[in-house]
Amino acid sequence: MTYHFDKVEFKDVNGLVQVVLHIKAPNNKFEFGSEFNPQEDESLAKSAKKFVKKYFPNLKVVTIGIVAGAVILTTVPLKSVRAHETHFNMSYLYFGNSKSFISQVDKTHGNLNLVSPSYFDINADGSLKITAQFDSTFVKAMHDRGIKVVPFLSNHWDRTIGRAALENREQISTQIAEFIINNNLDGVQVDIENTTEIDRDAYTDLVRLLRQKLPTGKEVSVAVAANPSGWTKGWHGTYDYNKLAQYTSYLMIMAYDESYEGSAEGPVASFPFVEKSIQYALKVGVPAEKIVLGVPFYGRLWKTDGTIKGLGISNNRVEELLAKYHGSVTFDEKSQSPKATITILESDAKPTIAGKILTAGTYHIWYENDASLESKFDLLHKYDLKGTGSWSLGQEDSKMWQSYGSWLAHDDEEIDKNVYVTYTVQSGDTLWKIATANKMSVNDIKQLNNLTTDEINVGQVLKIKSLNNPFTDIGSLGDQVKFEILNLVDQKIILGTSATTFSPNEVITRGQVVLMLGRMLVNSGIATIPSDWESNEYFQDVPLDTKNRELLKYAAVVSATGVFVGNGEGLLDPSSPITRENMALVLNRATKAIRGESLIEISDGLKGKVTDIDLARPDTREAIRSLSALGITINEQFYPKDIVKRSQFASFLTRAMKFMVPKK
Amino acid sequence: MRKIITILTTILLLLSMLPHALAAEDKPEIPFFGVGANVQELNDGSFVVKTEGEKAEEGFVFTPKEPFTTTQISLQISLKGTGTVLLKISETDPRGRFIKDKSMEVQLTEDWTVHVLPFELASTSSQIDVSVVTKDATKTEFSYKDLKINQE
Repeated sequence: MTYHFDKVEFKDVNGLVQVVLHIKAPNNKFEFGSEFNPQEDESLAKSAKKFVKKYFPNLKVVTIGIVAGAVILTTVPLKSVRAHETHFNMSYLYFGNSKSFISQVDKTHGNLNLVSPSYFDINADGSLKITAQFDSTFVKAMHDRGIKVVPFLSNHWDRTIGRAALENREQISTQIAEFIINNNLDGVQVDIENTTEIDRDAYTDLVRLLRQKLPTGKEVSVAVAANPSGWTKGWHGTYDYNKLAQYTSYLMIMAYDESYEGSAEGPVASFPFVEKSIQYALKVGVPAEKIVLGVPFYGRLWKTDGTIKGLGISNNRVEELLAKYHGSVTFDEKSQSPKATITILESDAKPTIAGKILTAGTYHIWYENDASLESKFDLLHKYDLKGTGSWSLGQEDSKMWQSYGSWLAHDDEEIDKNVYVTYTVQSGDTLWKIATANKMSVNDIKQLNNLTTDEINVGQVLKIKSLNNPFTDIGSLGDQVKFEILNLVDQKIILGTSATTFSPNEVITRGQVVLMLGRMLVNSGIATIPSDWESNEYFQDVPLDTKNRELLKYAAVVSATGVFVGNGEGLLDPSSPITRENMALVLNRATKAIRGESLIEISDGLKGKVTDIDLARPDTREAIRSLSALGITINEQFYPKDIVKRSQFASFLTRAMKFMVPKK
Repeated sequence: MRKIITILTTILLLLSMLPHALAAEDKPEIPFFGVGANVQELNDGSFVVKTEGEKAEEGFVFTPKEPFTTTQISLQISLKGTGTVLLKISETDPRGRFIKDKSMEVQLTEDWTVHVLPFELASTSSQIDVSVVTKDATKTEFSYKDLKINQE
């Protein structure tokens, strides 16, 4: 989406410039205001940065505020000095055809400079074999988009075929050069794998010949095995990194397959594995600007009974499985890698992954998500590398491309990761008064705001509380949403999905809502846990012997308080996503339980402005209208049948909680 | 009668050619690659290796394609020539990571001699390279035939 800014304002914030861009709120399904999630639409932040850089290049702007009407959508930090920014990104094209490749490329938000399709195979006699994938119209389509096309030469892991090409290097290099020139391709990437140290000289010589036979404007690059331990034998010994770098535009380090098909369970590309692989390349003399970091867009799957070991699975299929089988994700700090766990029951539909049917059982999947990729991208900046190469396009969760560009830009100053609550000074306020009201000391506020005196002015915005952010995956959310999440975490109403992840974009289930509202009711002292929670089955599908004791306990609380009544057949359906209309219903009832008045009663006949109310179930319509009337939802379209994300629920709950106070 | 004789002759001729035709089709394609050396196949099914003499360990390499059914294997090969060569087996895991190698020094003779190098694989999923290479940097020539990987 492209954004147009109607008006620009400049604000002095403690001697630094804040640019405020005014935008007309698009009428789309995203909730604006505190529910706005820039991670959903990174293009807004990008457009804002681009706008400021273009029109005010010499201004030392520290933040950009983006405002729609009276609502502050988000604040984008902007540092004027950039230590390292990466502009080179390539991706391999392997699974699909020209049509699907074009579609995949068009989803990358302009982040790709080069694609590497599988056009060059090798015949048994070591000569060049052009694959059926070659398509001149695709090459033109990429050039029209400003994207280079550099096919890779592959032996598909066949050592003998690889050696045949190396032995026949004079002929095959000539064939490749001629084909590239005749078909307006932009170069070649050599990706002969699984040869060994005895092929080292011949390998380097093939690359030298290609460089010699191709015009300067055509690229020669090599996909090299990651070598974190500096091995000199086996596949790793085939690459003379230093000499190869001399003949090539860059080396693409295949920093993945740390765990592989048949191996013990583990990450595909742990942070230490990737970093050591970069360090090795630098150590043997490859210039940083000739190193492209390979990143996997796939994961690997293990069945806990040991019958499947390391089966390859694309990242987008992992997301699908997580949603379908209500899996959970933990983030391994050491490897900086997510690990998904899913359980497929006998009664569930059985998915097919890489041609294999996944039967009932529990599976562990090590894969890549935004947090793990962003963490790897930090290494690009740390070592000033040329860019990224990804295997392979189409396997990724396409939402990732919204963030890709921002990961490539790196500020040399650390951005404060704490989340602050702010307060605007009113007439009659003093520092002491504000501090007391917020259970702080005057010195705390002064320190937090760099104040040297006690003097404050009406309208001055003060930071009054900081919440430590333990999560690595909420950095891209708007400050307001971050605060709402952390505040609920602080109140022990919402927990993260692990010690370091919140999973803001995961769908929230009915069971999770039960836990949150149950905790809220108990923590606020409104409800107690029914004494019979372990002997009385409140819902048939939350049996007394369930392993999820938290759910059993809080299911009793929400049932006893009338917040959840089940589906009429005594079922809670805890693993299903909650719909927006049902969320409206339970928030309404939770308010009634706490305050004695429901949201419907509080709104007192006000109808709000929801335009798609007819799509909602009749029994939920009044509750939805009350959300709108009370400002708990802001948009005119409510999308009653849609699911709710964890970050969205945090926003809805926070707004509804303003009304969830016992009536005096 | 002449016609019958002609037909019989043709049949006999065809029969006499058939085993050769089958033999040619059945003959497995075994790609041997020179390592700092030129490898040439002779009509009798043997191969001649001529090393360049620029460095040690020049000769030829071969990667068997058949999957392993046991970890106990051996390389069997007939060699002739002069000087000293190394019979070598090098094992890598399915992702190409080096596991181990083993070599045996062989003093070549003018007559064909069968040599056997036993080897224990770390796993039946491993890959191996089999090579016969010079011990030192020497411009030399040796011959080999009947290379077999025995699975015991």
